[in-house]
Amino acid sequence: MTRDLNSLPARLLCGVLVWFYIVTVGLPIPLKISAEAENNHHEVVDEEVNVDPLEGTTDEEADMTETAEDADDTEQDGTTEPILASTFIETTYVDLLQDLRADSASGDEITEYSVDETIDSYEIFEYPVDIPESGSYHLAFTYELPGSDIAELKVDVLINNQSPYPEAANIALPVAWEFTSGEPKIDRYGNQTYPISQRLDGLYTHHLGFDMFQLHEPLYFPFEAGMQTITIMNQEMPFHLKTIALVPPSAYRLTADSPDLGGSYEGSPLLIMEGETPSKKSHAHIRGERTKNIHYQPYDSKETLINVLSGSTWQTPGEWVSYTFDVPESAYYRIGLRYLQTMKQDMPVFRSIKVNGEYPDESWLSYPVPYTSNRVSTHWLQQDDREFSIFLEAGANEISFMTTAEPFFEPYHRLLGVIQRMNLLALDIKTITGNKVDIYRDWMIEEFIPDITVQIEQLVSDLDQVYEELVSISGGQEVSQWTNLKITRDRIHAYTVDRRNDRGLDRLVNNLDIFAQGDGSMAEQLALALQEMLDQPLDIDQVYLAGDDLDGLPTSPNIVQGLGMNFDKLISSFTYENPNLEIKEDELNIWVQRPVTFIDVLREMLEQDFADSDLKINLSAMPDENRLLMSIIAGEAPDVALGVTTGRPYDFALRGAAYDLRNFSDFPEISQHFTAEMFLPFAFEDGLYALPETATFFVLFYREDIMRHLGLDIPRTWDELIDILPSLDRQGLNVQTMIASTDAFKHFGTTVPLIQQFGGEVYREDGLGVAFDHPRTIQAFEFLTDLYIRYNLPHRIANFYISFKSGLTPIGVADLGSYVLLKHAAPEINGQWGIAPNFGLINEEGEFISTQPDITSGSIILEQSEKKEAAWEFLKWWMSPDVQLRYGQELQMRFGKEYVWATANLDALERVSYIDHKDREIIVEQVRTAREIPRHPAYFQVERELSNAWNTIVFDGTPVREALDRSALASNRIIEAKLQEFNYLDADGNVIEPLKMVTKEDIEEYGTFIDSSPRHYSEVLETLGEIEDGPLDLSDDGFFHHFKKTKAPTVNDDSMDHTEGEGS
Amino acid sequence: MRERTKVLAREPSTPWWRKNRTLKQGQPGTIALLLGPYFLLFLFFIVIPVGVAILLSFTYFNSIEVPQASGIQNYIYLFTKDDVFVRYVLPNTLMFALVVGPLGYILQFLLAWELAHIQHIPRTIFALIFYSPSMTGATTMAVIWKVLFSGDQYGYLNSLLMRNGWIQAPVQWITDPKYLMGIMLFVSVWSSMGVGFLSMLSGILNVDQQLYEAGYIDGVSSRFQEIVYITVPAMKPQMLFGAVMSIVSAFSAGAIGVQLAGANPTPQYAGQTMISHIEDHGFIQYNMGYASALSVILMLLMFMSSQIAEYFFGTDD
Repeated sequence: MTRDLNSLPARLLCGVLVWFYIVTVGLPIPLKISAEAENNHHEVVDEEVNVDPLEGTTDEEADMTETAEDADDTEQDGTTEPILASTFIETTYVDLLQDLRADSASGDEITEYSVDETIDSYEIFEYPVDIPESGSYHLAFTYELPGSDIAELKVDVLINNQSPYPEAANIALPVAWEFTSGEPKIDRYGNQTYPISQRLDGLYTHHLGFDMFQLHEPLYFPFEAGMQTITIMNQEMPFHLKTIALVPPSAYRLTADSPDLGGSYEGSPLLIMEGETPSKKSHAHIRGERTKNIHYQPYDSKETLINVLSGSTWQTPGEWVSYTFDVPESAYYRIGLRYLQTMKQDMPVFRSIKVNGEYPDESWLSYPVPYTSNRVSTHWLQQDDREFSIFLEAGANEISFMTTAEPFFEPYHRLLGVIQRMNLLALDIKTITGNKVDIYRDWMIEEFIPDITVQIEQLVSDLDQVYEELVSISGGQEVSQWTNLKITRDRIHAYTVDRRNDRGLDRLVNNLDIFAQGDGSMAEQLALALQEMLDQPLDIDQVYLAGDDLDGLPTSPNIVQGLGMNFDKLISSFTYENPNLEIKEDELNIWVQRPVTFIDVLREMLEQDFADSDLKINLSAMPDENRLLMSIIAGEAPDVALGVTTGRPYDFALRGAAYDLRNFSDFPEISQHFTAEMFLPFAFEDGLYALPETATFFVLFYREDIMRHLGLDIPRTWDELIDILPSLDRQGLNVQTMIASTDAFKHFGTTVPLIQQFGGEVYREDGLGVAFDHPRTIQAFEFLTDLYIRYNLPHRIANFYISFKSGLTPIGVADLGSYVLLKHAAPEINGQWGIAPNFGLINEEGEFISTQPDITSGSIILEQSEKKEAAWEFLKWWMSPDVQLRYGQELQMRFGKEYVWATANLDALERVSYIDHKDREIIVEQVRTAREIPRHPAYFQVERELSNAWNTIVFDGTPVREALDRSALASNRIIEAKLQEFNYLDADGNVIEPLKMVTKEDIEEYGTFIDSSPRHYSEVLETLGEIEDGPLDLSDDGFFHHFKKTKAPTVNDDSMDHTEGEGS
Repeated sequence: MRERTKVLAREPSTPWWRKNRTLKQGQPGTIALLLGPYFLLFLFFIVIPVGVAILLSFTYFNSIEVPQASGIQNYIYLFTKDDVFVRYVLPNTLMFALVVGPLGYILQFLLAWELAHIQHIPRTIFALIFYSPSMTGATTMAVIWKVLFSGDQYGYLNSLLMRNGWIQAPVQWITDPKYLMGIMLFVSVWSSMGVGFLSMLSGILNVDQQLYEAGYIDGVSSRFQEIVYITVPAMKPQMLFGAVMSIVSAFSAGAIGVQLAGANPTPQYAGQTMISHIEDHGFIQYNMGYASALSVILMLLMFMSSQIAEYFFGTDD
């Protein structure tokens, strides 16, 4: 019924359109003669270009046609064959596993080699071994670590300088951590503070394994008999390698030899351990969570106590916790868990459970811990659905729980295969249809991909199998967790079915982004399930060893008790001290515009470092920056504000609300950790009003696999990018640019960098107007808009992370956030991407200019403050490299690797652990050479007008100069008004006092700074390990290769007159 | 002396707080007591803020430093130099007020009139349903509409249109200047069934049935005549109230554009209205004095519009 209604208007419209089409164009042209049709299309394009004589772009137009012809040539040559799936998918461990297992070396003699060497960070260590017998072996390392560091040990293993499979990279060498003992502390707001972790010293032995799932079988390494070399590439911190052991698989033992199980546990005592205080744990970030859940122990209505082990901190396979029980008498015991598992609806989560370092039973290699819904439940561990008990000797006994995703190993890889094949099929289709799909065409896609229906059916049947496997893992019942899979399966299946009005395959071709590669496409929906399989969260409240007497066991409060406790909670919430924005007279008041977690860590560090000082510090969270403004009006301002966005310090300084930091005589002491550019946004007249606090960076991300497959080099400069655009476009692939990451409003960070790279200016030198008529500015803006008009880059890529993962955007500029996401949340492309310097230009001096503004926040001292000296002491402490580094580490230790502290302190940035070693140089260099945008009293208007200019040029086709002229006019009007407001101009527009447009050179005179001058291009290439193709073309024509083919636009007086004429 | 003690002795059992227990009509104390709470609230929350805003509008106030008197500079700037105000804000605001005000008003009346004709319980339910959009608050509403008009292919509208083949690529409904104003109008009209609607409903229900009967006798032949000659004249006070509420909400609901587009200013000022312009100047450009002048102009606009409503629906008393 509804379908009829829906399709009726569609059919009417179709009819009209077909009639219109036949009348205007003639009968539909079948795809077979597409080359001709393409030519027609290009002619149309050429005509359009001809229509616009104003631009004088005849040369460029020729260039366009050339490119078009190129494309046609290749099409006719037949070089754009569909990409073969096999070339894209690398052979992985999973494919090899069967063979490797079958090829296991026999015998059970473990050969141990004593190495006793310290391997430095990023060192490549080679060790010769004599292999007695060909076959696959496990490798076990014994190692110890000097010093205490958050970084994890990771190594790549190569055999005879060859990687056996991709999974032999980034193998973790686990260590153990513990909480430092000490009384639990309660802070002034009644929250228990999170304890600090430290690493356990000592020797560790580990069989190198498949970390992604924590398979119980270690990795199989294939060896030939005879002398072989094992190469170890240390990817992280230095460690001491004691021994390497070659373990034949038959000698590797999983379960305990003869565990004493199943005896009667009558009369055994009850032992209780709190889940949030494990004796040992695998990672520093595993921690408890403070909750007000009345069902957890311990609970207090007034104070928020840490009372449960937070499931999300140890949900990744390989993370473990262990509890050491002091058993009073030798007896049989049961093991119990009081826990909550709500995240995986109707699904168990899996844990490998060891008692005293050994698995009591094979079924405990991956023990399913059932779903609990919202009720904290107690579960007694079982052994193959039978009651379980184990004999424990009196004394210390250790029970450990390790997260594992082993049951998902097969469905995961089957599903991954499906997703990869979907993306490839989409690529193949795009190769045939081109980037823009003509939906009124009947695609005979089968003629180009004959087995497409078979491929789709194969996808469907694979998905069916994945679903069945998942259902059997969840205990044979259908679970809501995987509904998405089922829906997607049906949607894919629908492509094989023709409806009345349209063919299924045409639907696929016409809406390819719904199938794969688009934001939220079916492939993307399926990929969500991948992460879902790996994550295994489990909140543990308590762990028990028990006999039959359960008297001491805590019970969940019943309804009446629960009501009472909740009422109590309500009452105590009235007296709760709000940590937000209070001012204490006798303390140094600091407002921080950051999440509370960040403030908690800062508070704890302050308590440690300022414990002996007279200085009392009151930290508050500032959820809304306007509150700062209001507090200034009210005269209730804090002394220091941290995390202030980059525009504020200038605005405050202009209106006399911020304090000039140059007044402190030891300012150079702190400035030496930054570049002069970093202070540019905070510079007003002769003062500097903030310290740069956080900085991001913009680098080029690229997909190694795709670029290699397409045979493309990574572009360094804008013209190199333009050179590869046709190749990318032919495959329907995109390029991300900063401007495509924004909505309608194109902020300064997207428009100004290119102007600066081209050597243009935003403001006139005297600050009395904008310099949109600067020839370089016009050039830059022409290029900035050409990228989207002529070269057809996408205007908007809402989610670069997803687009990059799916391969649709294999190359693009993105920031720190994307870097962290890709590093930690993109397991499927691990090791297949890299970073390079941002796109740039080579200037007349041969320097490589790839600048972007990087500073994201600053810290200020308010003019109203009466404790400026103390505030400065604090700022000096806060922005010193060591404190910045420590703060970043503390954050990661508590909350996980994803918590990145993006310090602007260059000396700290060089040492931070969240940047991989191989990326460090590129990123630090990018931040060092960053150029910031100078501020102006009317900068907000200039920013808007630049954005408007871009929008009107790209969307409405306004000529660049006209749009810029209009924007200049509008900006200058506001600039004049603002300058009059601040008494730089009188009412008639005469200069009363010149506005100082501060430059980097001015700031450099204020103190010592890190040099921020760009490097020579050859030097840049050298650090990238590349050699120039030929001598660098530095002649006039060489500068801006892009404009070599066009007449360089010159600015003459006419356009100036024009500007003024229009204004009057 | 003696006399005075006499007086005291005469009424020893009546303490002072029991005197004048009953408030007597017309006594000054009574008036003050009854008016007091209202007067205080009105003074502190209406008169003083409005007065301060008017005062500030004659000053230069950059949000941080002490305001300085600047005469009518702000108003001169407003009408002579504020390009954005004249080119975008004023037309947008007037358009918004002219469409949303009258259209919402007519809709309010028609819906109220139709609801008045059904039974009590369904009427209450429907009235609540119609009234609820205006209660949910602008932000909640923007969240709902943002999903509907989302710019990707999963926005409800895009999805619906694409599924039926009306459009091929998703349309940027709320970031494209072409569509933003239309969507703002639509959303505002949808949520205009506010207090005015309720008052009209009660007004229609309160019209004396005898008037209709008299009308029939005098030859009223259609429902339309009934509305024009009986219903509307009989409920003039409610009509006036509804009209004023409509105007005020139409002028002040302009912030919906900023909420939808998620940025102030809205893309190319397409949805910039007085309210968002005031916010822009007050909090983004630090021109608090100028923002005050703008709000005074907005107040005058509202006042004039309600005078027009008064002209149509005002009663003599």
